[in-house]
Amino acid sequence: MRTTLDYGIDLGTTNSAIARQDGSSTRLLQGPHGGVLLPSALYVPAEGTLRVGAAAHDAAQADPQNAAIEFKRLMGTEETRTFPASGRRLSPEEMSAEVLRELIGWAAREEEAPRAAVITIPAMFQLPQSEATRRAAQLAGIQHAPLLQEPIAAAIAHSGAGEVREGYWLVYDLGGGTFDVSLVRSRGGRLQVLDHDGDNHLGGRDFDRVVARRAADRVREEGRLGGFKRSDEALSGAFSRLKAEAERVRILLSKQDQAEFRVDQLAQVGGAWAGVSFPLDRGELESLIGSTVRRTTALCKRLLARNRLGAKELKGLVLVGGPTLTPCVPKLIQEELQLEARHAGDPMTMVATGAAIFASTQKLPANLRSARAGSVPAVELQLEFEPMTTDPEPLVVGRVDPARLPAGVAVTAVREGGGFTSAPARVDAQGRFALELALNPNSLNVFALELRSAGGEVLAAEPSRLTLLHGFSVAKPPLSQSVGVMLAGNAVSWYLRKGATLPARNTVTHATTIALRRGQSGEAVNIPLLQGESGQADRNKVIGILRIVADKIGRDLPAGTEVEVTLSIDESSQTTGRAYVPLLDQWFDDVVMFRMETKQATEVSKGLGAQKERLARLEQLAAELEGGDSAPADQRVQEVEALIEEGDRDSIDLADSMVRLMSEELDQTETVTRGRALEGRFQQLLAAVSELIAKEGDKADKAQVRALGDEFARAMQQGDMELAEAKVEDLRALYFRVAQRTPDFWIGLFNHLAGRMQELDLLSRARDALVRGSTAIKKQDYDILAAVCRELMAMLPEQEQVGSSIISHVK
Amino acid sequence: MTQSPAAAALPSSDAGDSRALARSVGVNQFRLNPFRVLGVPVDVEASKALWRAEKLLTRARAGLPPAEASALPWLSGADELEVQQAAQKMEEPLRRLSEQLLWFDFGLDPRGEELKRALTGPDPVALAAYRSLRDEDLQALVPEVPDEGAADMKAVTERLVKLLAHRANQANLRLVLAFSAMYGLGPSSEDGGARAGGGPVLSWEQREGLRVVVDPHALFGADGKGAAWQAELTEALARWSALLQDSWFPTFLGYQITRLGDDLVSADDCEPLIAALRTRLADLVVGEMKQRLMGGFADEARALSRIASGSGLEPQVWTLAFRPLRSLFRAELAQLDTLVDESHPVHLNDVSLYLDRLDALNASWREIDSKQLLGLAVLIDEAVLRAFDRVRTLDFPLTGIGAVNAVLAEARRVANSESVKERIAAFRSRLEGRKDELCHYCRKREQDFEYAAMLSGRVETGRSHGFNSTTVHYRIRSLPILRCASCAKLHDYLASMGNWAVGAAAVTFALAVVLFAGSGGLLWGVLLAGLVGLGFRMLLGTVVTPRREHSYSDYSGSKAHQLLSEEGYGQLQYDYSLHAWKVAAGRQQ
Repeated sequence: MRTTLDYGIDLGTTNSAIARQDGSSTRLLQGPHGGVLLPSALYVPAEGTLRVGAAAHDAAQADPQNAAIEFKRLMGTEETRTFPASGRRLSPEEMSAEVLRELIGWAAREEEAPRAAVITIPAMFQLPQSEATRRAAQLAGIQHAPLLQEPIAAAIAHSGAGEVREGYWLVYDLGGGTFDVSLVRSRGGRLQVLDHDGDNHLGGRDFDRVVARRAADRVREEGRLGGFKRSDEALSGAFSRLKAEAERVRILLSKQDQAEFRVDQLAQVGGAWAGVSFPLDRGELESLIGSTVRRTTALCKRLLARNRLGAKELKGLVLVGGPTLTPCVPKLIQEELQLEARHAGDPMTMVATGAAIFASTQKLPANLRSARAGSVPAVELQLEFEPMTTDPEPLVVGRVDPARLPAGVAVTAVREGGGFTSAPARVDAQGRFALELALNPNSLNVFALELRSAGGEVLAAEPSRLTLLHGFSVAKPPLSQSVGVMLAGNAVSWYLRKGATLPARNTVTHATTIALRRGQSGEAVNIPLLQGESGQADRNKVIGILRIVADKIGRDLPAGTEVEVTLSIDESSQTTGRAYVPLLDQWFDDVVMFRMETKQATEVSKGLGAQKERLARLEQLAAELEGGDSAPADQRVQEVEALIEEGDRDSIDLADSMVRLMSEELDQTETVTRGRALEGRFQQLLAAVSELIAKEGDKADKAQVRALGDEFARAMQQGDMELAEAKVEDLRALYFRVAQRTPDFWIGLFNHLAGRMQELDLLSRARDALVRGSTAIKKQDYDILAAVCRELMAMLPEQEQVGSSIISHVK
Repeated sequence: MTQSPAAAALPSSDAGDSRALARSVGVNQFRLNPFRVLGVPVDVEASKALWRAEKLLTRARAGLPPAEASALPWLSGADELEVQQAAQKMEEPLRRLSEQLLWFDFGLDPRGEELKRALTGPDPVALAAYRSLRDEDLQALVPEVPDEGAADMKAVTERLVKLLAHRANQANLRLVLAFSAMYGLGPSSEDGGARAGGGPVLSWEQREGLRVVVDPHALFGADGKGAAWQAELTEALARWSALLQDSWFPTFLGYQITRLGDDLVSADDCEPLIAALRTRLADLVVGEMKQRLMGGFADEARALSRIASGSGLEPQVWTLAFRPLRSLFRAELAQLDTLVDESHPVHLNDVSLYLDRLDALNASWREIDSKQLLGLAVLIDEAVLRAFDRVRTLDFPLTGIGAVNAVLAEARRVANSESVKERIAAFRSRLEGRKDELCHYCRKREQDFEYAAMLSGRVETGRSHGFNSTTVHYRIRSLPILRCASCAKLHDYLASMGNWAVGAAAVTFALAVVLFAGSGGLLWGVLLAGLVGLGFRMLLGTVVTPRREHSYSDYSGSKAHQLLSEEGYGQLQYDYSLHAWKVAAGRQQ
């Protein structure tokens, strides 16, 4: 009877696998065809059963409309896939559930179908994606499915194989759709993931993408298929064929130096098929995928820099994931990182192997255990112990139902193979006992448990043995991204920071900013839950909203009411949020969990535009400040624009991810240069204001400038950047106030507005005002001119209107 | 031997409030310190700490308590999750070092064993004895090293490291006692003490038939009930501040790093660790302050603010630490926003009321944030500017300038920063200047150019001599004295009354000639006629001109008069008729 999970599943983007731990050995389970890999593909025909795996993968090429691949990338989103032949519509969780069901079926061929298994997820998976994976497991009948980060699974497989006992190393996990890199330390058998990084939109399929893009460029050059756009629905099959061919050629190039990229039946033109073909060698492949590989190595470098480690201090880099078999990848990694990159075991099954090893340390819930064979009733022992430990003398504590035992029962543990018998541990009145064991170092230790009554009678116990592995243990996984709560004013209160060991919990007290009346239907105090790293709330992802709904409160809540919010994340990254309101003595745990947002091309484009502006500003600032930090390169801008142009879901998601990354990097650059930038801006403004005031200002203006100068200096000295920024804005506002007293200001503004009216084609609307303005200038009536300018500004589109604070309203 | 003040801690406002205690960052810093939770010394190897954690977790999962008692027994134990987190902290070297600095090094401190026994007991008497130790008391245990150069540096370093370990222990002891006392916790005293007695000793007196407690605020306010933990916390922070500024502290830290033997940390981490420690100390105080503010214990919040500002830690540390609390105060301000909200029309009275409330808040916040560490003055200024902006958008006539300026004066008074005050003052003075657009005579109504009175003057520009004549050249200038239509009509009425005055004067002249015929009747006639004529108009002008307004004839304070005088124009002619302006304009044409 199994008492631990033992099954580990790697649910991959391209391929999946299942492994089982039996004692000290790990075995990959085989499918009906004898292979250990199951392509993560689905085919839904018009009639008959749904196909999963290789059959579906093959069918995807001929009938892509009714096939689905790489749906892991959509986990956590609202996107569904419709299969026109059958009319069925499936969510990413449902599709993943089919894959899991198939794998469970493989296990069921050997013994009872497991109802619990460890399932791996990328380390950078966000909480909605993890939740979706759990849902998929439930749908597949896996009732208990702890989630394990893929790099940890790989590290366990690598370390558990005795490869590395001491030192630091990187686990470079490049899957079909995701990339994770983890910095791992092994010390005295204790495996610890120190840090990780990665990208949920970067994987082997990006290699195929760039090769397919090259092929598409060739097609466009040849011109037979016109613009040949990916967003053209009629050509979706063509692009799938290109991608499939790209994958084939890429795999072929891992065995030979040259290959031919060839698709004869790409798309139909005037009733005839048009195709594409061209030669491709390893060198060209390397140049095509080089930038993608460099994106991964950049993340590796970032990880190492963050932990102040250099390549020399690492034992090596372990390659995991099928795409790492692409020939030039290890070479490129070695060139970039100056680190030997090697495959320690089969990169395509390492994750499943490690998951199974880990599963063997996880207790199987009692309700999921198989019934015990045999007719002799046994005393059931609830044992607590660490199944994997580096402690040579661990403790085992157990509980029994005292009602079922005679008095004076004692428990003894005897190590199989001899050499140790524990002191008898008496069972106390509550049925508890504690055994101190001694383990053989670096090996699996099996102990037989003996229950004896006071009279020496041996009682049957279940379980009758316990197994402990000495010499290897795994630290709890770290949280991959910080989790917190959005506060009013776009601020963030971080509850659990990236790197915090899971499980983790934190409680923070806040105060509400709005009043809530009892029974006010539809109203609630919303507490947005965030995941990310930015100090600005809107730069992070909202993963859910914890709500205190008015329908459920016992009395009115005024603004400023105290609320204690507790966020908990378990080892599987399952997040729960609860709020306690002391005033009501009531708990609230109504959390609306969000899916991953999927943006449209226009939104991503807008986001890119905003980042380009910031980039330009920072570049200008860097040029102005001597030795200022330079802004990040804008090569990615072109890449993002190209992805937006491609227009398919994947490209848009990738573009969005890159824009977000750019935004985070620009945030960091702005933070670093903030102080100097502020100082620079203030001095520039001061010079302009002083010059203006010398001509047009009065004593009061000069007094204000002096006061602002003192306050700015004080704020900088105190390190209060927000206050310093406010003083810069105050100085700017003063400049405009003084300028408004000069006729030149209004004349200049009027001329500018007249120009804008022309550009925006608003001349007919503005004609009357423009005439009055011109007359006012001639008459030197600047009051009228000011009124005209205000009128004209009100006609501008909203985002162009100058803030009212600049314009005086005294009349 | 003096008893520790903390040992006689008076029950705090939160005594028995387990929720408040659970939220206390100060108490939890020590309750959840991994060295306490796991019951291991600060120099324990990471692997052994891990094994200890595994055993504790195994026991916890089976419902068994830890086998040994932990230090600080007046603080509750850790649950399973907290034990796991403690184990994890031990595996992260930087985190471990940070926690280590806020714990007790019993091994390195020459009197560490005494402290350990005192904290585990707990033994208030032994604690008091430990507290009273001074550096000099340690000399006997830490022998002097001859000062003979670099060869002995190792010994010197070891000696200093032990001394600093002792100082750190002393600081941390006061820290834990202070935070414990805030919640009515601490080692109980053998003789019962105030804690067992259940409260301060009250003294009563008879006053006007009532029995009253003498000065209860001294007992329960900042100088009484809170005095114990405040004094303790003040001293703790002072000691830590001194330690952090000690030039040997980095060496002490370097020693800890070397002792840890983890290649993930090095001497380069000394400065970040010191900065992290400063931040942590500030965060502990700020965390407690937040609790007090949210619980409405303003006195204690003020006390914490005072302690913070006098702690010796750099102001920047406090500014950053206090920043998250601003949202609490902003929320308080936000409740007033409806008075000046832009979504609905606002009256000047609303703004005035808003400023009154701001003033009250400002006064109470100044007590909490006397050293401006919280930046509350900035929040008040932001609110004042909101009111100021609102006033600027109000639609008011020129006659309302006085009332507006009164409100702005109030705003200026409430503002804290000079720049805001100057800005409001500048605006006020410009508004005052707009008063020139009021009628010169009544100062209440707006001017109307069409009804301006005219003041003309002439100045000689030269003379030219002819054959037998001399021509005098003059320049004549006419300037309007701006007035409202009402005053213009009044003046016109007075002008017309002038005709009546002439008539009256003529009658008077005739009568006088007749009455005083033969005895200077003509002279009397002229005199009386003049008096009557003049007096009649003056009397009429005075009677009909409202109080505090300039009379029709009073042009001397006008801008026109001022300008003409400055430019040397004389022989002034004053036309206050209704259409004086038009007449002058017509003449010019």
